[in-house]
Amino acid sequence: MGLAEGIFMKISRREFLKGLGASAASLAAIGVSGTVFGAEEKGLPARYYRAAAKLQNSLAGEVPCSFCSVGCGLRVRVLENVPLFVEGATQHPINGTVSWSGGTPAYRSLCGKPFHIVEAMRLGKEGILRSAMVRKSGGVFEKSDIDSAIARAAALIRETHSAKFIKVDSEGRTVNRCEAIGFIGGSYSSNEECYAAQKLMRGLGLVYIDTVARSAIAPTVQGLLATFGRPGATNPIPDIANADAVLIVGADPATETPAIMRYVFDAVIRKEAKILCVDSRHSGTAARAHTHAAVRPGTELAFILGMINFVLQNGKYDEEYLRNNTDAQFFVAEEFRTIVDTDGVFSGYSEGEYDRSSWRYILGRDGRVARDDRMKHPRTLLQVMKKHFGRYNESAVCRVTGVSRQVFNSICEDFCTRTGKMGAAGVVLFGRGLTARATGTQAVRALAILQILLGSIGVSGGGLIPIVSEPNAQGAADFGLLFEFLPGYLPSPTKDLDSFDAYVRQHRKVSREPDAFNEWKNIDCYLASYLCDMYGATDIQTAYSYLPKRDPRKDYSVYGLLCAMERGEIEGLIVMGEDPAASLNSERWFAALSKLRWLVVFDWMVNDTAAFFEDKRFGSGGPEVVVIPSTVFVERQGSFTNITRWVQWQGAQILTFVKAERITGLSFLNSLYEKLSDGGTGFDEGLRALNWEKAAMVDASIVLTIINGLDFKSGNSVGTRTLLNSPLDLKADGSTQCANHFYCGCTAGKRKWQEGDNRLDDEGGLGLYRNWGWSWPSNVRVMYNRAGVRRDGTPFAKPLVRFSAAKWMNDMDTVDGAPNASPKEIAPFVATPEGVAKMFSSALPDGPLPAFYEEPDLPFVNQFSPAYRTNPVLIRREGDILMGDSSFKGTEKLAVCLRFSLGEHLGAGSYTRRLPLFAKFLSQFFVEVDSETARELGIRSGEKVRLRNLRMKDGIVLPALVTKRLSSFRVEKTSFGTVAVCTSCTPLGEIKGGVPVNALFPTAGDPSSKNASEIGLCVIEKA
Amino acid sequence: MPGQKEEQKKVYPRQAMLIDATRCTGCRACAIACAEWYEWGPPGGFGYHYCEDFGPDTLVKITDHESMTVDGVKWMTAPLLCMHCSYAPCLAVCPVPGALERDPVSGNTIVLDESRCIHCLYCTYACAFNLLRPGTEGEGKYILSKCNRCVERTRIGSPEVPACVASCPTGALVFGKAIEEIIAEKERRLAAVKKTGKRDRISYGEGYLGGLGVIYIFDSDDSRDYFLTGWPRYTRAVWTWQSVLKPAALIAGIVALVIMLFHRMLIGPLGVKIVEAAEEKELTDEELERMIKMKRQEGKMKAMGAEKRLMRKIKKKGKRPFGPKGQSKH
Repeated sequence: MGLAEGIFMKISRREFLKGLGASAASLAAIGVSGTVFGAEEKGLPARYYRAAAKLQNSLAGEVPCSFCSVGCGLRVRVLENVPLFVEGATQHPINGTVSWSGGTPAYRSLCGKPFHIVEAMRLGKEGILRSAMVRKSGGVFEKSDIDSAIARAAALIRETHSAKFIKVDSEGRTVNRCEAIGFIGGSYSSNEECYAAQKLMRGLGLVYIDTVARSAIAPTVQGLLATFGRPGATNPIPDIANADAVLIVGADPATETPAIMRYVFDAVIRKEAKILCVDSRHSGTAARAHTHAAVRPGTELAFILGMINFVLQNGKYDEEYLRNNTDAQFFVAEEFRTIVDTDGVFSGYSEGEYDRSSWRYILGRDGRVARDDRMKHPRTLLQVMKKHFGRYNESAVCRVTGVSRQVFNSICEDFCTRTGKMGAAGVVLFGRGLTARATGTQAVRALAILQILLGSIGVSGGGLIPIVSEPNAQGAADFGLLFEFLPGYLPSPTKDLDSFDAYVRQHRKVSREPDAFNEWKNIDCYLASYLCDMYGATDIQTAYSYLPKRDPRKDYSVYGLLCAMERGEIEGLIVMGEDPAASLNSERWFAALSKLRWLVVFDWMVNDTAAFFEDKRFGSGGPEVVVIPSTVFVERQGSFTNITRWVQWQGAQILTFVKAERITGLSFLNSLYEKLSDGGTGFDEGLRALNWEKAAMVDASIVLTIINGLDFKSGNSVGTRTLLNSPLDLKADGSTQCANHFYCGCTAGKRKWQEGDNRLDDEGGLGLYRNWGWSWPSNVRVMYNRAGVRRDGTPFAKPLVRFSAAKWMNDMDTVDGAPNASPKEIAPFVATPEGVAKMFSSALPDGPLPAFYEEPDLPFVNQFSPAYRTNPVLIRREGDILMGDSSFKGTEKLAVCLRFSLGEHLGAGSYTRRLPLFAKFLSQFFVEVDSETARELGIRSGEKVRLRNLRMKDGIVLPALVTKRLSSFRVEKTSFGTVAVCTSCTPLGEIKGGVPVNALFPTAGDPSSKNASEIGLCVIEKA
Repeated sequence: MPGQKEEQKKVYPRQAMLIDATRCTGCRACAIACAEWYEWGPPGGFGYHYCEDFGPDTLVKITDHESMTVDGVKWMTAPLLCMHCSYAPCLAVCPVPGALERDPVSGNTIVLDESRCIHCLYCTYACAFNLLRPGTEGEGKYILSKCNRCVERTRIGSPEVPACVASCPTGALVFGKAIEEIIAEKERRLAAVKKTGKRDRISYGEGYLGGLGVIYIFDSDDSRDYFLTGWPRYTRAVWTWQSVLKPAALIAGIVALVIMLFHRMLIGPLGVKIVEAAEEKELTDEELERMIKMKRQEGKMKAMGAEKRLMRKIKKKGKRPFGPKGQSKH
């Protein structure tokens, strides 16, 4: 029976229909049928409806992001008071819908960091704090209401304060200080909170006032202050796209501040710029660079000095710029000796200290600095520099850094030749890989010198921009949360300056140059206004005496605080929004914290510092811990200063918060102040005299007007006083109140940026956006922008400000310094006493010019000055054994340890490390090991290795990730490996395998910024 | 290829995405944004890898490849996600209507409806880039999900871009409502990058499988550095399915239809009835013949010559033309 016959006859009616269906199915399979046979309408799968609901039902609010120091705009989608999603703001000059590269598809951007706000708010009790927590000594956290927790904190502070406050020290000087309490905080808080915190803490007489952002921001502040007289980055972030070359030194913006990379890449498209990266690790940034110089760890500075030498020897510097704007033409004192003349130190060195008297210019008969316009005389600075930097010649630099001549020359050519002419400029981005070194501040100065020589300061596309991951590190530094500064970078008073006049005599900079604007000549006005703000109408002399005076020889930095805690000198610690135990050496911090009597933490998650007793070794006893829950940034108002000095107001309060659950920083400080001043007994008059208007201090927008500066005599309360317009209005007689002279006039302008009047207009097309937010000083976007105009008023190729018909055309940027003075009247560098950029400066304790020294932990001979291995004025701190000091003659394999961070983790990962989603993206910590070392020791990826050194005898064990991105190096026939650990790796949190990696690094470091070196030598072995 | 031709006939609005690997720093912002938007969490991996491969919990994967060159080490990173090909092999093989198809509203986005997916996994074998990987849930039960390029965000008229693009900090991801825009942007970027000394950089995606919905610029001269084949094509399985099995199915289907029609024409329902009746009553040939004649006279058997053929058949086969009773039912 044939098949056809079978089909032919045996089919019933039902079978016929079945057959029809089968043929339809076989046709459907070919795709003909989709719309014909599929009766239902097509929709999207369920999860897409869920996602779509996020889009449709949510409300979106835009705020400045506070997860790194770039200050992007953040759009938060919120449903029922819970954030659902974050994305880039639609309208924002840094990451909004601005098509910078000129292409059609506009883009807006963000990075992985802000997503932790979504995760934390969604999580509930494992995430954000919802009540205060109190832990009695030896106990565990118990919930408490906020009010009684603050009352408890106040009681603890009062107890210690009344016992330990020093009014008059042993030498009979009035010091009014309390050294038994420390304060750490600020870099994650708003400017207003920083201001209020420093006010209350200085009012209490605290001198241990610092921020953990010190390691990132202090070298920049000190280095730029010494060179330019002002401590901020010179150019705004969008201006990076105008650069003709981008040099990135010791920084990984790709992971720390990812939004900056957009402008770096835009510079490639707009200006055909080359990205040049100098870093010991092949990071995400180096991977995308055109040339990467993989220097031997710790020798980034040598490379920069080599570049300066290249500029000087090959005449790549800009002579006209040097003559107009710098001290290259000045005569340097006869008795000054550089490291070339001596055996490796500058003149005046003896026993770990410099006598800086020979680091000066020669003054002429008229009191002005003697100069040679041709810069040919051997005592002119240019010639002195040629001699000094001559030591860092190509062959020596290549030998020390391990970079091939070809790479060295190509970076020098690409950066110096392209930018060393008028109208062209290159930008330098630098970070912790350069600044967290024993010569970190000098390294910043070296970069500044390089940029000055190339004429790239004060022009579009030039300048120096530090890469800092803490969101408001700049604001914290601006508002005096570095121990050595009051707000506005006024040096904090020391005990030898016992009167206002003595202070002014010491710190005022006098200038004989007729054309120098010399901003700091008004330091008496600045300090008087600050004192007036602190203590109200009290006369200036009395007010000055209330201020705590620190011991000039003592180290009050976070590292000094750690040592004091270990010595048992500190009874209590107040931590506001930071996590020192995770950011710094967790091993030592946990032990030191357990010696305290009390600890007050103000934060929105339980961080490592608060939860240190979860580490079992420190579980018994220890301090009483009070944790006050803080609002997260989308719940509060305030201003944030980004790393390039843009102040942005976060006005929109996207989430409403329950007052019983969390409080803002200002309310916390306010109620702490109330509870401290209630009792009254045992307190000095300083705290009682504190000018603290309760009604004003809870509202961030009113605090901002206080920061702006008020005419004190014009009213009785903050609300009734008139606003000051500019720092020039400040008076020395106590009639003006202003906390920070750099911010003076910030809200007084016509455009009310603090009320949301931000515009995206960019007049010059240069990305200055001067109608967006505000920028200190006086809304100047590019500092020293007068340098872009010749002294006769004619502009260089691409000026930021134009001078025509005897007046300034403020069409692109506000002119720096006095607004009406012509270019002839005022020299461009308005903040230095000489009116020039100072390549030669006596401000730093370790040299007037940068010089290379090896890191304290590396036992190598300094090839440039063999007699001095490491920085001769290195700060050594107790409890710190340096590997460099010991002669390591063992057979163990030694490796240099570096640090890296991950794109989605913020700083030390205090918040991100505890969130399950982020723990899935990085499920296990690891250590990167270079492939040669791994081969030598027989380590494969995933196998565990142990790193140990003299500071960490037991060592840490982490799985190895063998990579070619690190390379081992040879010094004196010994081969050293290179390993890198993640910054956010600490013992606590959700991610597996956390160990205190920071314990591998020393605390010895930079004498200028009181910073610690982040290069550690360790023994590596298979675990 | 037959499948390609099928797809070629259709005209879609073509949305596209540019992935500029010369800008990708491997920061993983795109993956985190995607995970937040669609609420997945990766399975976890070692080092920089949060997953070993694609799967239901990884709609986007970041490739990470180190290689040594004369200039030193080169580290190449880029996000990998569904290419949304113009002639999509996965679409060609998907047997279930509506499980995997183009979203007609948002353009050429290929959308997987997980509720309709029958987990036959044909698409995972078909994918030219091996970007579709199934996961298992419980005991051997497969689940599948893929990048839908945020169709709910990108439908025509919406100003939104996909979640990954909205969060890329460096501008490495660009989304365009028209592929021409994206190609122009690619040309501009590639030209600028080449001018700065990276001369050997290549782009990828145009011209493959009718033009991919994702266009790459590689920071390398070889797509294999990014784990992407230099010659994306329909795989052999898809080819077999498309060129052999599907034409065969087509032919079989048509033949079946034709036979059905012939059956209807030649015998029709009445013929079947007669035969059934004959079987039931065990009629002899003569009785059968008489019955047919009767029906014919009643005018009920309209088909021309049907009864003759039927008779001929019956005669040829003898008394029991359809075998014993009962067998014919199966």
